[in-house]
Amino acid sequence: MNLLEVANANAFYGDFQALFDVSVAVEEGETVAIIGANGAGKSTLLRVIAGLHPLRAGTLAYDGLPIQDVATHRRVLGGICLVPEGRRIFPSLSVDENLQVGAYLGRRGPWNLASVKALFPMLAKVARRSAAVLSGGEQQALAIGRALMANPRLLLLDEVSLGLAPIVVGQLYAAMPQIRAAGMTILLVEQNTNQALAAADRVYCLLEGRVTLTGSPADLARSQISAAYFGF
Amino acid sequence: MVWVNAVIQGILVGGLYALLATGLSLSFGVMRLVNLAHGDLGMLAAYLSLAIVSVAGIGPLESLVVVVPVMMVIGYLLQRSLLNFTLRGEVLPPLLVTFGLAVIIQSGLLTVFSADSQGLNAGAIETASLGINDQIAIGWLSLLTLAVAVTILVALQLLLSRTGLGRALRAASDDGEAARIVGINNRHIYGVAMAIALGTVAIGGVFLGIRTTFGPADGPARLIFAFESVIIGGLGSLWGTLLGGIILGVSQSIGGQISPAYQVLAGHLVFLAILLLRPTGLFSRPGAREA
Repeated sequence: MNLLEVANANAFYGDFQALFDVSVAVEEGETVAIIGANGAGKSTLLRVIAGLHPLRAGTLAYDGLPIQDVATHRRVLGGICLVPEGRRIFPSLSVDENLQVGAYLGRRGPWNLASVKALFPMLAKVARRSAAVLSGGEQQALAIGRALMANPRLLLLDEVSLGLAPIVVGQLYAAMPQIRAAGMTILLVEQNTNQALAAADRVYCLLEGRVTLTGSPADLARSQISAAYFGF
Repeated sequence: MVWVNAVIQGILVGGLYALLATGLSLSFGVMRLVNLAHGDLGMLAAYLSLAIVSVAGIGPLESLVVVVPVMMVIGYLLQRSLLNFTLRGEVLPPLLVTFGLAVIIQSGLLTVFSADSQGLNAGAIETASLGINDQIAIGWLSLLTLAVAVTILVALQLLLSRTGLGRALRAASDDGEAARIVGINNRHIYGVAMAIALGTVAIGGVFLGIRTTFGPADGPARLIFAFESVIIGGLGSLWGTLLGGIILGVSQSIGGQISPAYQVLAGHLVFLAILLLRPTGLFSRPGAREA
């Protein structure tokens, strides 16, 4: 059964339509990537799933239940956790406090302060420091760690690689197998197509708010992907 | 020696200003809400105490056991049912709504309690004092007010820095949307913040009512001193608010020593001077989002 099922989603910013009848399904335990150019609607889709942006038409089902009218914090309680674009860590909290606040709702699971720091050793070194002074890579690790602290069932990752040096991106993606090991379902958004194809079981390509291609990375030819990505 | 006395009395009055200002600082710090009804809500607490004192026959300090919880419930409900809807990122709606609320509270108090000046009688503690020497005497009530103010600020600081609720309050203050992402129900957290804010202003209002007489329209005048304390100390900083209250109290006290006519004016002048020299206040919180 699909853990997440987005059907014919339409979302708007004022009069501007960002998503046109987008349908995406994610099975439990799967890692699915959404790729596409800037402004394709990838982040909007994740924000809709997390409950930060309203759905004007279409349906959203999680674990078989409709959730489009469920408040963001209740979706977190159900196990949907977003690592937002731009990281959005809390600057006046320390690194440890950022992680602790991630466990605010206290879902049970394998992730806690110790296991998150074991996953991202760079966070252990700066645990007591203010989160505002971290490097970009450390902030991204913290944002992922904060989401893991809630012990999600469905982890939404928005542009993990954005603005980071390739070596740092490599370090962060190296943590992916460990995160998946416990059966976590992951839906990730990436502009970095190579990174996404390497990490995902299946990909969706979005172009100007519409799904233009889906498939598993092994079955898709480069030319198909670039056509779906750029529209020519 | 009269000047030393003026400074001491000013510091003690600063405790009262800090009590009245703490909630204002908190509601601005957590939800960027400038509550223009804050002073009137303090007056409401004083009248509530007056009603309890006359009905139950207990002293005003004892009445706090009832007044504080009642004001906290009012704060939570007010935030959840009304003020949350004004927090959509624009500056004007919260100002207009809380201004309207201030008018409603003043009219309500006028209708129920009439325009007569009232006072809360706390008994012997009001006049008892600790004599240091011939010229300096420290009133027990003033000392108690300052001690209560410091205790509340310490407790609040511990709540914010040590507890899960405090982390949630600070997280919601940093970035409301990111707070929702980690599962914090902002509407509830803002309700809790307003409950704490009104709990502290209730204590302030009752101490004010014991110290001086008060009327239904006194809220705005009290609000100005509270605002000045908050601004002097730096928006959103609790210790800054205490320091702001003390600076304001000392300025007024010294001004009053020069001439009684200068008392309030001296406070305003010092406030303006600090606003000019340090527009962000003495203790503005680093790392917080710009208002």
